[in-house]
Amino acid sequence: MTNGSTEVRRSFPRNVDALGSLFSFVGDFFDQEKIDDRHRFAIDFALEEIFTNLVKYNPGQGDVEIRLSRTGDEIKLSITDFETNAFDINDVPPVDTSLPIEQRVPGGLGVHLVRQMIDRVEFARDEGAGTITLYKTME
Amino acid sequence: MLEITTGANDEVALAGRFDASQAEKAKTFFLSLEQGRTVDFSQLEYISSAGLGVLLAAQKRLQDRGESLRLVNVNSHIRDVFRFSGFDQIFEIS
Repeated sequence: MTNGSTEVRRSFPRNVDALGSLFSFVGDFFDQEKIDDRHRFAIDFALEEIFTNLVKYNPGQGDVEIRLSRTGDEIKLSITDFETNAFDINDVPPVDTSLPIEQRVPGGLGVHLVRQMIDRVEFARDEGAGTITLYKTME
Repeated sequence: MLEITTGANDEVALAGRFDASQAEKAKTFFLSLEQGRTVDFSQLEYISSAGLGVLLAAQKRLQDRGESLRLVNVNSHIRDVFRFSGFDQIFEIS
């Protein structure tokens, strides 16, 4: 494994049916960087949860841009929505995972789990575009 | 892609990836269950919150009937997802 990394980027249609293409994009990056597949679950999970939230809550029609890079042992995943309203997942309240089944609802669970699996999350807004950047250190 | 098959003793086997694009198909299957089932996760590589939501809805529905889903052969990544979400207290996992 080398220290450097070339950033890869691609735009995807704002549709849940694009998930298969997103996962293939991640898989190609892992192959290119020779990263062990055991690190892939968290990246796939974070990407799906953020992407499907954008699909669900942002009414726009434009594509969503995904960027992946690696520096040393750290993977960086950025998701940019050019139609704004991208949300800062740091603002999403935590889920009470101790509630009994009768009181559990799926809402908010995805973001809660992303925060468990990812080391650091940053949010930036620039000229109408919102970017969520997630960092995962490979152990 | 997610494959759902029913084998001997009505055991359900999941294979592939249980993501948001597969949730509707899985929901149709799981919400049609009238009795508790053992669900074999040995060939399931991945699950997201969309998949968890389907399983939660099925478990709620079955528990109202005094039944439940039992999950077996769960890989370590998916086991972590269940633990982080508290679903390890909602499902019997072995």
